[in-house]
Amino acid sequence: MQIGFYYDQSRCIGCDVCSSACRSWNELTPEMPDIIELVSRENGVFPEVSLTHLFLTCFHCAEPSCIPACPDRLLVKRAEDGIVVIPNPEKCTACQLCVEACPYNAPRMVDGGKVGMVKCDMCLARLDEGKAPACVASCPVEALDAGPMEELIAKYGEFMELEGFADYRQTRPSIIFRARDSGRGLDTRIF
Amino acid sequence: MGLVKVIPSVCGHDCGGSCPLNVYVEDGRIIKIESHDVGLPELRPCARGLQYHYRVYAPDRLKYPMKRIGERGEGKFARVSWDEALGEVAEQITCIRDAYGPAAILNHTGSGYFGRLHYSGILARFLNLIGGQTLRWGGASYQGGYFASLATYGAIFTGNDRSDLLNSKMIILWGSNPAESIFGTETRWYLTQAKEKGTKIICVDPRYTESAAAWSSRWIPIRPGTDAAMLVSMAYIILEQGSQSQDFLDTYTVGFDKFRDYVTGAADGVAKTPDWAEKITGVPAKTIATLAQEYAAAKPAAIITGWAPGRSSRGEQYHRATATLSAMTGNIGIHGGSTACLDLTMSASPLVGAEVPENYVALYSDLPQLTNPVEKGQPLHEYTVNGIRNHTIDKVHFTKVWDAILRGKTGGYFSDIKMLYIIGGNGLNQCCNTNKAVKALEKLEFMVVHDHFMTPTAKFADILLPACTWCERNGIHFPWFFGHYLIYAGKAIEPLYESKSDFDILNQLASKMGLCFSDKTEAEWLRLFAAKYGVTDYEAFKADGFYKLKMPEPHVGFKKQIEDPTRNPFPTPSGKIELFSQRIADFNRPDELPSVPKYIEGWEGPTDPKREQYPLQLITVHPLLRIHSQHDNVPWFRERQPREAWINPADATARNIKDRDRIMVSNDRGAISILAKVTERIIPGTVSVFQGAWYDPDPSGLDRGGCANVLTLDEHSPGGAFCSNAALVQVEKI
Repeated sequence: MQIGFYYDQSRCIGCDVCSSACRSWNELTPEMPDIIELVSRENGVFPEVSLTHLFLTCFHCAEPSCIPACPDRLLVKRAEDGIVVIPNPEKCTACQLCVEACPYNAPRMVDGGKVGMVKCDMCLARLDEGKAPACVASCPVEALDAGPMEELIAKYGEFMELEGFADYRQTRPSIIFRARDSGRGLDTRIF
Repeated sequence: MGLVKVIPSVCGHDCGGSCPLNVYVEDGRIIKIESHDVGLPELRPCARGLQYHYRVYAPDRLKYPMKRIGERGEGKFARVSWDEALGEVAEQITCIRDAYGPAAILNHTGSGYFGRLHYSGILARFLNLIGGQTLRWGGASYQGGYFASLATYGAIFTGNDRSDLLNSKMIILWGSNPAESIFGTETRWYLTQAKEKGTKIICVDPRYTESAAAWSSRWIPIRPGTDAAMLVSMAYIILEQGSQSQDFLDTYTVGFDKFRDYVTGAADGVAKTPDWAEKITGVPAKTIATLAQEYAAAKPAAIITGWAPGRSSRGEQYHRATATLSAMTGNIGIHGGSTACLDLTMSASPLVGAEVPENYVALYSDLPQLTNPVEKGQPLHEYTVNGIRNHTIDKVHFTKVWDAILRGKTGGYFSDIKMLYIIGGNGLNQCCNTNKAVKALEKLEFMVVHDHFMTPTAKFADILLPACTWCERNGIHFPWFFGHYLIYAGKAIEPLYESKSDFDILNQLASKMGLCFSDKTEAEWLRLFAAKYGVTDYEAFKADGFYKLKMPEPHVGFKKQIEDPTRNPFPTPSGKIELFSQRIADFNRPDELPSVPKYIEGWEGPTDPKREQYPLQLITVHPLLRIHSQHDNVPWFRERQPREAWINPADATARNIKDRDRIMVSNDRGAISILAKVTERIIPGTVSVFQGAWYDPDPSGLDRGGCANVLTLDEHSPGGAFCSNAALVQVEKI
């Protein structure tokens, strides 16, 4: 089984609730980086403009590039649900090789890389209680969902590609999308 | 690790929402906050509430009572005991009241937080007890709409529930940006649902906002302050094609003929065609005509009127014009329609509908305000519009507070203001003309402030008292507006440091003066208020933290009046919707406050001669991650809500400004230093600054903080609107 995310880009209102809820639930102190980043892109020329958001975090890839990249093998993909975790974060030497390997810039270095790394663990403690991850449970327009991939696919379809999103064939991230209808010109250099 | 307790709570600032939260407490310390799952996805919070504990534990929380030791405004304070601080406040209040009369004390409280008991506005009760006060008139957010709504409908709570948007075939978001300003916790949810149902949503705004991006199929950029011109020309098209609901107009309204004569030009020789409006608004005539046709054909259709267009020098005309379009299309009193105008629904109250509160405090709090001895027997104000605005002469308009302090009786004001008392307010920053405010505050004899932080206003206090947040007390909260629920916000932690609730501070201060502020405890009041709103099992309400009022169907404003007009007249003198208002006509200032809605240019508008020097129109908009000036000191919010001014590439290029350049935005009132965001998302000729950044002048007076009100004019519209979106500026690279 693989737990993954669904992100409805057409619903997203760019409000940063996902990122804020994540910080709060995971007790990230002010010097810690965001685990979720909402990247926004403005397109077009006045008055024909558009604004697109993209939800970026760890997508718990089927073939994660971070795991082999870590020289100390600190990252683990859990057999039971495919969630990629770092059970002993205190051993992280902040070499940043996982960051370089990840197409989504998901591992985040604490305090500019001096201390260690943080990343999404799908709010494991919440999942154990039958609750959705904090980001999903807080989104004011239900633009996010999380669960077993086969259930998400049955519910939302199998869209793995989004303009500007790194090619899913590289690491097979566990996320499916609903694209914003306009979907114009996402800059691949950003995402 | 200790035991973790989960306390149901709220986020209840004046942000447009009131959101159920769960606060997690371990060993007496809040460790995290989550969205309280009350089974209603439409009541989820925003990013600010979820990290509220970083505001609670911010290192710069005010910890102790303090007394000024430096020059006023310098920010130098010494710690004193509560006894000494309250003793000093009691003594100064007594001295000033006895020497100059109670009208020398101005209540300049802000809308820091809302609760049915704990509310910054309860200061009015205290000052009434000590003999009275000078109160203000004019709400900073909405006075143009408030005036227009009372004139047109005779009521302010005229709106439909947000859930009723699902019945609309078309929604026009007019200067309304609920993706960022929230405007009813539920609004984001129902707009999303409406869009996905296929409802056509159009956004009219000088900026391509998050709301325009999220929900609209079409963004119509418009020059700030010209909205009434576009609305009036939409009326022209509807008349031209004869698609107005004549039956509705005949049955429910008065004075449509006078409005029609204005629109067609029969009254003044100018037909208000889309071509006429294009020159004023910058909106292509074809766009206006198409929108008018689509709106008239799409019944039921709702205009969601943002309040920002009303914060201009003739702002009430915009609100009146939206109401007139709603009436012309028969969209009032029906599911899926809207009254437009002020577009407000009284939350939670069983008294939704045509109810006018006696005063602002009654709107926001259940603690009786009592009567103000100062206004007893005073004649009415020159701005009185009978039955719409009946203020006595002692009241000072919100925008004129600084002028009243500086000029007093010799300047025509009712009293010489010697003292300011402020709870949960940052008026220096948030009222127009900040540099003038500095001069005014320097002139005072005494100033007392209750706050959580050393705000730019708090720096000017003589006595500064540390207030606690809602996490540190028990409270009951309404929705902001919109929605029908109550939240019980339990005390999660003890008040930090030496802070106290404003309620407790006023209780203790009153006892020091030999008075009784409250004969009931916090718990007694809360139990009483809950019962008033129909809570039968109080203990369950406290435990759940949430109570949903049952509504058989979405509330529709004026449904009764439309279904049975004979038995249910509108609460206006004519009993009808007053498109023409005799009460306004009696005010006898037709050029600035006409009796039918018109486009009139006020000061610092599109053709003001000042444009030669200051060619750009400034709008001061609500930020996503601040609540007015709150949260500006919390790092995560501050970093993600950059202090920036939006400017179109056409205006930026002409000034050699590139994205992220530091620029100066200035006019004859002051200058701010801020980063440029060069973006196609704003109409050329306009500069937008997010209001609420903290004023921080350098020695030359240049505000490094980026406080928008350094640039705004302390003048109100004839209806009483704050004109924070009517200022002309110049921009240059620095």
